[in-house]
Formats: sequence, structure tokens, C-alpha cells
Amino acid sequence: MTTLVIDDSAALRAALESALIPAEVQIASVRLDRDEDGRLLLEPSVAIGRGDRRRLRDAGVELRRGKLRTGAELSCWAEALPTHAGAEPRPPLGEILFVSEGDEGFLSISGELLRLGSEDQRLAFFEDEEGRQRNLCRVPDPPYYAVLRALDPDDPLRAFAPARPGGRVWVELGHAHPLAHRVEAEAGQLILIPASAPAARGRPGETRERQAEPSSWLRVPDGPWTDLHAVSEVTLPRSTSWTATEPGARLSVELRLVRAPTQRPADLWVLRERALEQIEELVRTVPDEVVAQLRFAIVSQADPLRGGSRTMVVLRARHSAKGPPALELDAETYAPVAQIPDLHLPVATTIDPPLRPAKLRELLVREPDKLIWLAPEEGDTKTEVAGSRRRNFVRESLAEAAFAPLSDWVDYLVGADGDILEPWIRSTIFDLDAFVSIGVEWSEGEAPRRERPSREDHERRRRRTRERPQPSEPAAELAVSEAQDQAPAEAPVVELTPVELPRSEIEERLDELERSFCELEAPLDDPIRVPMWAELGNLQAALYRSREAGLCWSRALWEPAPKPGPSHLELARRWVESEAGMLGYPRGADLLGITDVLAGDLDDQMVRALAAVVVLAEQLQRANEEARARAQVDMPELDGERLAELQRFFTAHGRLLDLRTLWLARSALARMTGDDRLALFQTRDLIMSTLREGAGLSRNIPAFIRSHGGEGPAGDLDRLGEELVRVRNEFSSTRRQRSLIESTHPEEPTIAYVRLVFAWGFARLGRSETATRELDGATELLGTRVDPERGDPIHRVAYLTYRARVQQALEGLPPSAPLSTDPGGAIAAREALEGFERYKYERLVQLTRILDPRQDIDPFRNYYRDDEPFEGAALLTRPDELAALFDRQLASAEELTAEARAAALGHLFEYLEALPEPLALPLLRRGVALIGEVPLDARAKLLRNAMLLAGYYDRSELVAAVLEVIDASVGSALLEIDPAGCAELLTRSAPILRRNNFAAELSSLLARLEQQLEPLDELPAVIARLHVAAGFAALGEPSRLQPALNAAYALLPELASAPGNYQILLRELAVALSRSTAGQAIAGARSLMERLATTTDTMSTNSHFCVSVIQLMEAVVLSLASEDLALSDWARRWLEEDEHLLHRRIHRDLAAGRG
Amino acid sequence: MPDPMSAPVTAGASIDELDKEIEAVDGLDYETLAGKAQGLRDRINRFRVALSHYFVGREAIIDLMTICAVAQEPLLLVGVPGTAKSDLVTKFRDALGIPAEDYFEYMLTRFTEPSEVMGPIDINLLREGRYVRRAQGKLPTARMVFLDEIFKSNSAILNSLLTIINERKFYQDGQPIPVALKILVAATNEIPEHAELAALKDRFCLKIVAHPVQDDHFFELIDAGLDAQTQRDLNLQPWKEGHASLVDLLEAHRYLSLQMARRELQPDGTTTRDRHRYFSDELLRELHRLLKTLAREDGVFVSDRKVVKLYKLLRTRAWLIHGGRVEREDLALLAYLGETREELALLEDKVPKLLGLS
Repeated sequence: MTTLVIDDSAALRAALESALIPAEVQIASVRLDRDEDGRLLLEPSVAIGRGDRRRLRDAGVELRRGKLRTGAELSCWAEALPTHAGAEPRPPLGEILFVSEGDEGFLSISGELLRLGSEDQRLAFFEDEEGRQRNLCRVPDPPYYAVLRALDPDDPLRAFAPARPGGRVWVELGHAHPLAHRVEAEAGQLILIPASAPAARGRPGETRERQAEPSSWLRVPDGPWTDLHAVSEVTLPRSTSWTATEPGARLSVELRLVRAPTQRPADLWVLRERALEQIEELVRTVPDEVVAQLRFAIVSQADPLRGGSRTMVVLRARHSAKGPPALELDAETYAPVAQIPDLHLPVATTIDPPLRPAKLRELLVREPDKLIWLAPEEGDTKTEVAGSRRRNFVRESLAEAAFAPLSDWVDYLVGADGDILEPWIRSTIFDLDAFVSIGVEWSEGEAPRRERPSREDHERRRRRTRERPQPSEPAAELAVSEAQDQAPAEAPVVELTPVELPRSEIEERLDELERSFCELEAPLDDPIRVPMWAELGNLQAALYRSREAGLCWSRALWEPAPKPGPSHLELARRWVESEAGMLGYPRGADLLGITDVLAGDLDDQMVRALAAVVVLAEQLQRANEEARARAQVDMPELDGERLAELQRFFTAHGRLLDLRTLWLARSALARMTGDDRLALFQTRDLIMSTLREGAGLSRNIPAFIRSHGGEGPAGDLDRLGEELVRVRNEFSSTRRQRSLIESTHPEEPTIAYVRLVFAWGFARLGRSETATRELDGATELLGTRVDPERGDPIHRVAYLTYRARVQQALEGLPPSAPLSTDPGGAIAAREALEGFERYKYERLVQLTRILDPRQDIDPFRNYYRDDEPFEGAALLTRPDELAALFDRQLASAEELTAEARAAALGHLFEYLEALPEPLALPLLRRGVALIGEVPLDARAKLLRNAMLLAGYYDRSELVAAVLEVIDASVGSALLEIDPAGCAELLTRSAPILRRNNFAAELSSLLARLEQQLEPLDELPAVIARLHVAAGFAALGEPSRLQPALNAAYALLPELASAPGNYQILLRELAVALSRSTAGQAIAGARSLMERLATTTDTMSTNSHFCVSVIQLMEAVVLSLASEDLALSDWARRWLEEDEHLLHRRIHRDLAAGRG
Repeated sequence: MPDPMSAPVTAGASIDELDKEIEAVDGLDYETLAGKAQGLRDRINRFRVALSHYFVGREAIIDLMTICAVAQEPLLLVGVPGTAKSDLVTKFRDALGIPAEDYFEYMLTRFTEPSEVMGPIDINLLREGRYVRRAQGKLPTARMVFLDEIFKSNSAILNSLLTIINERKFYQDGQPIPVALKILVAATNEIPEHAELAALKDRFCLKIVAHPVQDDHFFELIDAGLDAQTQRDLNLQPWKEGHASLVDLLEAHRYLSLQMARRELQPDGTTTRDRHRYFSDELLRELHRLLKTLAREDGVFVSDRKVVKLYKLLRTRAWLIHGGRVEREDLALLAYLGETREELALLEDKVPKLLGLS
């Protein structure tokens, strides 16, 4: 047998690592000894081949013949290498294995760990060859205090850390073994590598490592592991046994009125004395806008003092953003109770004892549709308690229906006009039906029955009064009135307010028009709204609010032109004029020059102006000679070259437009160029994917719509903004426990990226100054790391992308807007990354939704996918042939495999819109009938698309058919395969089902699904539950979201050890919170923030950033920075309807504009 | 032979007699003091326990005041107004029978001038070109000092205080003169975070928070408050029970100082030091482990100077409370090492937990 003589352990390590000693020899046992010079003598148990021996000799290793008689038998060659001491470990330490001896050792360490909060202990007990009891105790992230005991060389306790995470080889804590990461333990066995002891024989001149002697490795069984509680006895305190009973006495509570610390303004006045005279006086003296804000009811009540009855008036102010008016009346004044708008208390009083609103409502607001106020009791014996007067009260109520607008019963006349003075006097006699009161409770009746003047009468009266010179004429007149009164075919001219008026007057008119628009009880697509949109656009343009004006004009042109009413040509002409006016162009035709503007100088206003020109040009092309002459538009004919240039322009810059204007421009261009179907379908897909990802409300919805209704969304936005500020401060002040790997790298870049995330959030919430400050702060923190010349490429691309996203948010672009492809831009920098650098950056992108919200979405995937292209794509302009193709495919569906059938149905639903409705409907019906026969995993998507189509066609029976398939599928195995997809399908169908009166069915389906999802202990079920709750929220039950959120919060810590699932849930939570209410989002963000202190990771990306921290903070910011949260219920419903109209028009254009 | 069970100096003793007694303490050797040690310990403990009867829930503060007084280390009381900080110091002084001439108390503000604390400049001597303060009745001549709102003082006073606490000296006409200071207690509402105050904060090795006690001792608080009011109105001072005197504290200090300085040569040639006799290896390692844990997990940094002072304080506590070697429960003193309110709150909770005492 050959014995190898190796100088020292460094040489041995080199020989092992370079495979100079063959692998099969390395893993076999070896005998180790030292010669008198301290050199290592190694006798392998496996013969070394001749070639390997030669190589060893060439490398300077001496080979001796003969066996070693002394020395230690080692299990493998790596055991011959000593460990070396490392830096003192810092918390958090990950999983640690403590090794103690005897019962005393076990009790000491386990007791200390338990006392310091580490209950999660896995224990194993063994007896070694010498009969000593050895205890193993595995603890995740143990308290440092206990770890320090194991690091104390004088303490018998030892601690080991895994050489590789999850591995079976453990090295003594505070030491490292050079080859530990390459050692593999056999299954069911653990290898413990103790620290090497310094050699007893030290000689001068020897290095420290050479002096260290390797310690024998311990090979111990991997278990069986028991829980701490299996070997502990918990002494419980004496238990009690109580039985339920009823109290012997009941608490008697008398409600009284007491002085309130704060005062809300009165919006209800009860006039008991001289009621009608006072109303007359009021009408005479206050401005008409105040009268318009008031509603009133007349009540007759028995007068116990004087006998007979007395007439009283209850006056009430409508809800208004400006608050109720201040009225000088001899009346009892009442203000609504917080959270109970239909219960009123005397101004500056509150109810004592202070009960919670739900209880007050139960006690005092028993009937819906009634207005209730608590009148202080007359001749009340007031009691003084601690300086505050307590007063008894009487609960008085009146039906909501009893109120009528005060303005309906008033006509304004000019005082000098003697002829009409008489009718004016009559008009203030309130000939309402009297209400007769019985006792204290006021009797309720119907609203005053005097026949309300018809709209025509009303308009006529208004016009009559307008025709006279009158100084108090309302500032803004609705264009709708004008439009309706004009002869339809003769003069389709929009009469708009001249924009030369003073700014304050325009603003006043705009305010009034916006209010009228919001209060108008007509569907969104009612033709009556078209002239209103036009007037709104005109007024906004007069105020140079380009984006708002554009949003109004595009809506004026969205629905078919009303008849009678202004034509689209006329509306488009006015739009172009207003755009030209805002940009300072003398003529609309000059706007065509915008195509020559350099890309860097372009802004959304210019692109919008050009879109308006394209729409006008198309209207002109379609109009007949007469209409063209009447419109008097000076616009050159657009030739083929010009149209191609415009196509290119909108392909490149269309993203700057709101979705409606984009569609109007692209569809107009498609029609002018001979119906470019493919371009239209591409634009549709782009719009749909943008809608899915959140279109950006400020870019797509007029501001007055967003801010209408509720408590004032500005308040909610402020709350969210303040919360974001608080979260940012909390982030700055929180000290995280950083992992060993993270803590070896500076924290500034991670903080900088989190600040960029905050900048994005602030920008989304409209706090541009704070956003810019955060952006600057982050730039400063990153410093030279992002320098174009000397910087780090990963930091540079991450920073550029984040900065671009923040700037897009500041400009109000949707979150998924494309990034610039400029040479110095983010995409160019990303493409320059290669290998590991690219991997690190993409790891960040994978976990963030801000950098790339559409990472798994390609809107053009249908046109560039690798598999067989759909043959029907070439037939988009030939509907008959396309219909025949679909017909053939459906007829042969029986013979197809289930997968092929799913693909065929996918194509059908994708391109069905290219067909006119009569052709499309029968195909859709047949398609829906086949969905039940496709594989389960493809079904959810098909059902979703079918439901959307049924919704576009407004076909209840089709919606019902799809619902039936959904119903059957939810009951089947689909739920088990894809619970989240199932729930998402229902949530996305919610608006369509509600519009088609299937809310009850949806609710029952959701309830069933919710029931089947129990228990919520796994990720798919919890995600599905979040979707179900979103569905309930769409049905008007937002409170059901909270339990789903709670389930998600509960699961989150459990997933911390499974990064992939943790990240998915974190993302879903952020989405759910961003669609909840402001209160829920704030509570959710706070709950997520609790995880910050312990959030860290050990990924290789720590060299640049800690992605776990960025991801967590992004989830928090995404939860809060959502404009949706600030919308009132009214605005949410409006948006839903608005989106439906958007889909409908797109669908109509696609179906109608064929060949 | 004086009675070891009674205090040698009564409350009525004149300042001259007290001066003589105190000067005599410096001449006592270790053997003499060792003979008196048990009597001293008993008296100081009686004083400590008796004084705490006049307060509600302030035992820990009185214990710490006594330990610091024996070890001659300054103590900082932290707490919102109305938590009996001043009352504790006043009664502590009364109970020790420290005469007015030996006690200096001042509330510092931003506008307090050095002359108010250190004594005014002697104008006559200034004319002769000498810069000498008339320190009689001011901080340099007082053996017990109480400085209220210490962190509100300006930088001129801060510098003088640092020298006095550190070196027990102040400068008269450029010459260092020893101060009489033996017991220093300071109080503050808040612990400011300004960097310029860091040095002064570090001089106070121990800081203790006076928490409001009404939540836990509402009824006792009302009873004790009324008693105190009556005693004030009738000018009664029952806490002056004469259990111990300043001289007892000084003798205890000298005894412990001499003891800690002793080294014994063993037959095997090794030297036995104080820690070998009074601190087990295991407990010292535990102390080290505690300090390391606090530094690594919570960033509570204890300076080298403080570690030495801490040793002295632990020994003093052990001698006073149980008369022998340092025990595990003595390490609870680490709960008072914090530098900020947050650290104090954290340590108050964490140290007993780590030691398994809570």
C-alpha cells in the first residue's frame, strides 16, 4: 500500500480541490498520521491508479511504500483538513443545531431557548459508544444569548450551522471547513464537523493553520426528531368551570341630548312658527342657487296648546361639496349624526350616553326611507350633570318622499314687470297636500301631489324667463336644452358658451354644468348627455385644461350622434377648433404639422390635437356635400402617404392618449385607409390589456367624475397620502434584522430603491413634490453607482427603469406604459446586461410590478406566437368567409380532440367581433354550448371571453347560458384544478351579470365557491378567496373582503420559507388591497409593515439590493397608491358603466366596419 | 467602643463635627473597616428599607440611590414631572442627616450661569488679577448634590460638570482644587439625543426611570400622598430616623474600595484578585454574554469605562443586598445601562427575561 507524504494541510487542500487525489479515493476512508517534521502521512484505503500516482509525484507529493502503524482512521480525506475560525456570527443565524450532554445539558439549553421565545425546537436524544447521553436540538433563528453560550469555549454546549442551507453537513458555529460544502452525508445521517483544536506539538515558525489539528467528525443519525412538547410537562393553573346564566337585573338606560364638543353645520330646519311666511321671506332674499339646494315638506300638526292644528315646514339642504347654506330662520336647526345621515340632532348636541352608530341606528332609525330628528322636549326639566345640560327629546320622523325641491315651486320674476306680478304671488302659495300629524310621530304621506310641470313646461318657463332681461339669470345654461329645442335636421349647430368670458365666470358655469351632469338621472349613453359633454369640453378648453377637455370631447363623439342634435362632424369641428385654440394654432388644418415635431418635444396635448384632426377628417370624408358646405371646415384631403404617416405617428405616440381618443383616432384612420382590420384588432388588444392592468384614472376619467359623490374623495386621497408618508417614516426608522449575507453588503442601494418605490407611490397619489423629493433622495443615495461612465451596470438599469416609471406616474400615464427605447434609456441599458448581471436584474423584475407590470402579458402575442397561426386572421375583412370558417370548425368540433376543440373555441371568441351581429350570435351560442366539453384548465379563460362577448351583445339569454356553464363548472373538478381562476372568472363577470339582472345568481355562486374554499390553509384557496371577496365587493358588499384579507395575512408568515408562494401571495394581497376601501388598504398596509423588521434574504442579488425588502415595500405602496380607493360608490358605478360603453363601441366598430 | 448598631453622627451634629468624622474615615485601615463592615451593612440596609416606606413603588430607585451613594457613582433619575424624583432626593438627604451646608440643589435652565452653580467670581481678588470663585455653599463644597433638569444646562456648565464628575476637581485661578462631592443625583424629564450631551450622559453609568405608579398602586398612592401632605403642613420629618449617616456610606465605600484593591498571593504563586473571590467564572461569562447580546441584538453599546464601573456597582450591590459574592440576580443592574428612553424601556424588559428573573 502507498502512503502519501504531504507537507501541510494547505497542500492537502490544494490536492483535494484540484482532484489531484481522485474523487473515488477522496470519499473513501484514510489513515492519517504525522512524521517527526509535522508532515502529513496519509494512507488511502483505495488503491491510487498508476497515472494518478505519476501526477502526484509530478506535483511534488512523496509516495512511500508500506503501511502506517499508528495514526487515526478518518472516514474521508476532507476530514484530514482542520477548520479555521471565522468572524463572530451575527444574528439572524438561520437554523442552528445545539449539541449538549446529559439531561442537565438538555434541560439547560431547551429551557433557556423556551424562556427566550424559541418554542420551535426539534429534539433527538442518543447514547454514544461510551454510554453518554447526547442531545441534539435544532432551532430556527435561536436567540443570540443562547448562541453565545455555545460559542464560549468553557461551556460544554456546542452549536453547529449547516454548511449548505438544508444540507446534512453541519460545521461548528464560528468556524468554517474548506471542503464542507462539497461533503455529502448519507441519507438518514448527519455529519457534524467540530472546530479543530490547536495541536499540542507547536514548533517555532509553523503557521497557525499547520498547528491546528483536525477533530474527528461526528456522524449521528438524522432523527427521529421529536417536538419539545413531547418531552416536556406543562403545569397548568387550576381550571375553573363556569356555566352561562342571565343577569338578575337589567340596566335601564335613558337617552338624552347633551352639548357636543364639536359642531356640524345645520342641514335641516324645522319651522314651527310662522312657517310659510318665513319660507316666503327666505325665497325672496336668498340667491337662487341656495333655493336650488333646498328641499322642503309641509306638515300639519295638532296644536295641543291652542287647539286645532298648526302648519309647519321642514326644510332640508341637499348634499353638496360646498356644505349646506347658512340660513337666517326662526327655526330649530339640526345636523346629521356622523355615519347616520338620516338621523339628525339639534346643532351642537350629541346623544348621551354615547352609543355606537349601529346601536343608535337600531334604536332610533327603525324605518328606512324616513328622515328622523330628535327634537328637544318642550318644557323639559333639564338636569345639570357636571356642568352640561341633559335634555329629554322626542323622536320625530317624516318620509323621504314627502320632500319636494323648493325651486320647483318658485318662479323668478322681475319686480318691475307689473303684469306678471300676480302669478309670482300665486306661485309662492304652497298648495301642497297637507300632512296630518297624529301625536308626536309625524304622519307620513306622499310627496306634494301638485302635478310637477313637465320638462317641456319647465323648459318653456325657463326660456320665457330668460327671454326677459333679468339680472339674476343662472350663469350657465345647459346646451342640452338648446339642442333639444332646435329644429333637428335644419341646423345641427352646437351652441356653446363664448370662451371670451372672464375666467371666474367660466369656472362658475363649469361647476354648475358638472353638477347638473352628475345629478342627471339618465343613462350614460343617453343622447341628452352629448351636448353636455360638448359644452363641458368647450368650457374646459376655455380654461386651457387640455386633458380634461379632450376627455369630454371624446365622450361627446363616442356614442352615435343624437337625433335631433349636433352631428359628429359639427362636434369634431368644435373639438379641433378648441385644440387649435389651446395650442395657439390659427387654423385646425395647421395641426397636421404636428407629425413633423421631434419625438422629444411631443406631449399628450399635441398628440390629442392631431387625433381630433384625424377624427374630423374622417367625418368630413363621410359627410355629404351639403353637410360639408355647412360645416365650413378648411381641411385638406388626406392622401395615402399622409394617412400612412399618421398611422405611423399614432403607432409610435398613441400611448400618450387616453383610451377613447386613441380608439377614435385609430378607428378613424382604419376607416380612411380602407378598413385596416389587423391594426384595429391590435389597438383593441392594447386597450384591453391596459384596462386589465389599470388604465390610470387621471388620464382616462374626467376629474369632476372622479371627485363626485361620497365624503369627498380628496379626503380619501389625502388619507392615503398621509398614510404613505407615515409608512415612509416607519420604513426609515425601522431597524431590520438583516441576514448574514445581506449584512455583508451596504444597505443604501436597497433604501434607495425603496425610496424610488415611494416616489412612484407619491406620484400616483398626485403628490408630485414629495415624489420628486424621494426621487432626488434615491438618486443621491445611489451616487456614483448610477454614473453612466463609472457606475455599476445593474444599478444603472434598475435606477433608469424606476426613474422612468416614476416620471410616467408623474405624467399620469398608465402603470404599464411602454418604456423609452432611446439609446441612453432603460431598455438599452437592460439589453447591455449579460450573464449573471442580467440574471440579477431580472430577479428584481420578476418580483416587482412597478418595473414591469405586464411581464407575463404580451398584447401582440396572438400575432407573433410560435405555433400555427390562425387561418381566420387573413379573413378579418371578409366576414362571410370568416363566418363560414367558424361554422366548419364548430361543425367538426365533435371529431376534434379536447385540446383542439379548446383552441378552436379560443379563436372563435377572439375574432367573433369581426363578424356582424346576425352572423356572430348563432356562432356564439354554439360555441358556448361546447365550452363544457373542453379540458378543465382551458375552461376558465373561454368562459371569461364568452361572458364578455355576451355582455357586449347585451344578450341576457346568452349571459344566462354562459352562467349555466360556469355554474356546472364551479361544481365540478374545475374548482380543484384552478380555484383562483374560477374565482377570478366570477369576479370579472360581476359587472355583466349585474347589468343583466343576474346579481342574485352570482351572489349564490360566490357563496357556494366561498364555502367550498374552506379551510383557508393553502395558497390557491386563499387567493381564490380574495377574488371571491372582490366579486362580493362588486356586488356592493365590500365588508366581505376583510375575512379574505385576514386569511391572507395569517398565511403570509407561514409562506416565508417558500419564497415563490410568498411572493405570489404578497402580490395578490397588494392587488386586493388596492381595490378595497381606503380604510382596508391602510389597515392592510400596516399589517404588511409589521413584517418589515424581519424581512431579509440570502439571495445572490444582495450584492446590489435586497429584493425581499423591495418587494414587501412595493406591496405596501401598491396597496395605498391606488386612485380606485378614493372613488365614491357613485364614481365606481359610473366607471363600470363607462368601461362597458368603451367595450361596446369598440365591439360595434369591429363588427360594423368590415369591408 | 461605639455601638455598631447606631449611626455615629446624628442629624443634629454640627458641620465641624461632621467634617472631622469624614476626615477620620480616610485614615481607617482595611482591618478596622472589616470589623465594622457588618454593622455598616445592617445600618445602611435599615436606612434603605425604612426610607422606602415613605414612598409607593419606589424601592428599586431607593436601592439604586443607595448603591450609587456607596459606590460614589452618579445616578440619573428620568421621569415625567410628578413622579417624586425631587422628593426622593430630599428625603434621602434628610434621612442621612446631611446638613444644609453640605447639600447643594439646583434646577438648571438654558440661562443658568456658572456662577449660580460654581459660586460667583471674587471681585476683590479679580482686581488683583486672580480668577477665584467664592464656592462656599455652592456645588464645589457640597458633599451631596442634586441637579434637576441637568440636560437643560448650557455648555459652560456642562464642561465644568464633566470635570467635576470625572476628576472630582474644579479650577480656581487655574489651579485644580478637589471638590467635596460624594453623592451626585441628577434628574431629567427627557433624555435628549444631542451629540454634545453624549459625554455627560456617559458619565451616568446608571439611569433609572421613575414610572407613574397610579396604575398599580392607586389606593396606596392616595394614602401616602395624604400622609406626606400632613407631614409637610405640620413640619414633621419622620423619615429622619437616624438609621445611617453619610459617614456610614463613606466608610462602606472605603471598605469596598480597599477590598477590591486587595491581591492575595497563593501558595502556587498565582495571584488571587477581587473577581476570583467575589465573582464566579460562570457569572462573569454570563455578564459578558449579556453585554454582547445587548450590543449585537439591540445595539446597546456599553463603553469600556462603563464596564469597569459596572463591575464596581455589581460588587457594591452584592455586598449591600446579600453580603457576599455576586449572584445572578445582581446582574439585573444591567437593566439601567440604557442611554435613551427607548433603550431603558427595552432593557427593563429584556435583561430580566434573559436572566430568567422575570
